[in-house]
Amino acid sequence: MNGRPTYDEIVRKANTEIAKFEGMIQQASREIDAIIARGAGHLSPDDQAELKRLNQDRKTLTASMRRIALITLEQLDKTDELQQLVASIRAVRADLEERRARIVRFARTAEDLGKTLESVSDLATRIDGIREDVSHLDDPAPKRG
Amino acid sequence: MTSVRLAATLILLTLAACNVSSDFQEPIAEFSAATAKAQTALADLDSNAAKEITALRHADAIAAPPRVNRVEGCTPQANGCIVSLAPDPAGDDQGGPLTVSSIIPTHVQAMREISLYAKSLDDIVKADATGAVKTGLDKASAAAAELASLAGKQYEVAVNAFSVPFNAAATWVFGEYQESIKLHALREATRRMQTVLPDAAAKFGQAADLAHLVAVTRLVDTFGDRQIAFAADASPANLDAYLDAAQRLDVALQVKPSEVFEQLNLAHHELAAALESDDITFGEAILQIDRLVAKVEQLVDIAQDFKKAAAAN
Repeated sequence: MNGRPTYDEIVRKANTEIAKFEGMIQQASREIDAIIARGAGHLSPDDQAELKRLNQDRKTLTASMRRIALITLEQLDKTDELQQLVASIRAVRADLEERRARIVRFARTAEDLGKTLESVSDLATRIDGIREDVSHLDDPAPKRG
Repeated sequence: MTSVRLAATLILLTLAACNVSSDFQEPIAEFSAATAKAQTALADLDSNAAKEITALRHADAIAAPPRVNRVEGCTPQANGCIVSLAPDPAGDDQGGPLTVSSIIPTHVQAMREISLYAKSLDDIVKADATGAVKTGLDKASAAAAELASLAGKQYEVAVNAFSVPFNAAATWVFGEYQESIKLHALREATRRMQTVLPDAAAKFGQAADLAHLVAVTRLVDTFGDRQIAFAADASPANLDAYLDAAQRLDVALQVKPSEVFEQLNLAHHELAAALESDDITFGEAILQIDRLVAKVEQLVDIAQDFKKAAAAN
């Protein structure tokens, strides 16, 4: 869309290059194995030098493969698709979290209701106590002579 | 007597309602734990790859010093100081900071979100507010009884006769309500995640395979060195070293990180399908989750090995 390669395009390109290097590494390994087999435990100085050179070539090839993998990883991480994916996943999680919080909130409401009724009951008890304390005031006052 | 029988029936029904949750408690808890491990493994692979790219950039900087021409900040009032390598004019390398702590931070962050999502699924299943509701109702009925006693004996008897079965019924109703909203939340979330996870799992798998390849190339180098050393000198020590390198490479080659993420997706798919069905059965989901656990364990081991090896170098 924006002219930049997509995630899949980046991966495809990298995999093609990696496969090419894999072929070259296999070729180097075959040559190494052939020299070792030919020497049968007694390698000539020339064979040993050739082995070292081939092994070094193989290491250069694995280093190139490593470089492609690393650079590709960096490119993939910067794609827009990945950013959008993170946003979508985050939205699902946020919704789920809200639903969990709703269950907890409902329970809290039930507890609060219990506490409120307890307070009402306390208040009623106190009012009843006061009513008893002052009940004598309702009696007709003795008349003064 | 009737109210006692009713209360007992309601308590039994409450216990039965709780079993619905216990059906999916275990598979979801296992899925959550496996997802958390997959996240750790991806982070370990990332940390190893970050060390490699740091080493690569340092080598490039020494080989081509003019590329070290990007400096961000590094003044007394700046927010930081980062020395970067400029893009390679001859290749795809876009350059970047010379010291990297994470090469795929967005992938790691996305995987962390998935892991937190799985944890939230688990939290939903474990969320149980029936205890709190029962406490609230008990307090409410105790208060009602208190008020009734103030009103007169005849009311006290009536309230007590009513409140015991009522509390049990209300707790049961809440338990049912809670189960239904839990199930609804789990269904809704897994359904929505199913629209994202297949794509995410495929991408994480591709990234994880590349990060894994980075470490494997090092093992191939070590194997090559030891192969040549043994060919030159067939000593017992060289043989041991050669076979050890072969064995470590063999173990690493058996592990394909993308399979873990494919399995993660498959397990989630089965979990979502099981939650959607009217008659909830988790047989297939449990099977796929078990496979996920096994694959994740392998990946965790190998990623930790890579991390240790990188730390030792």
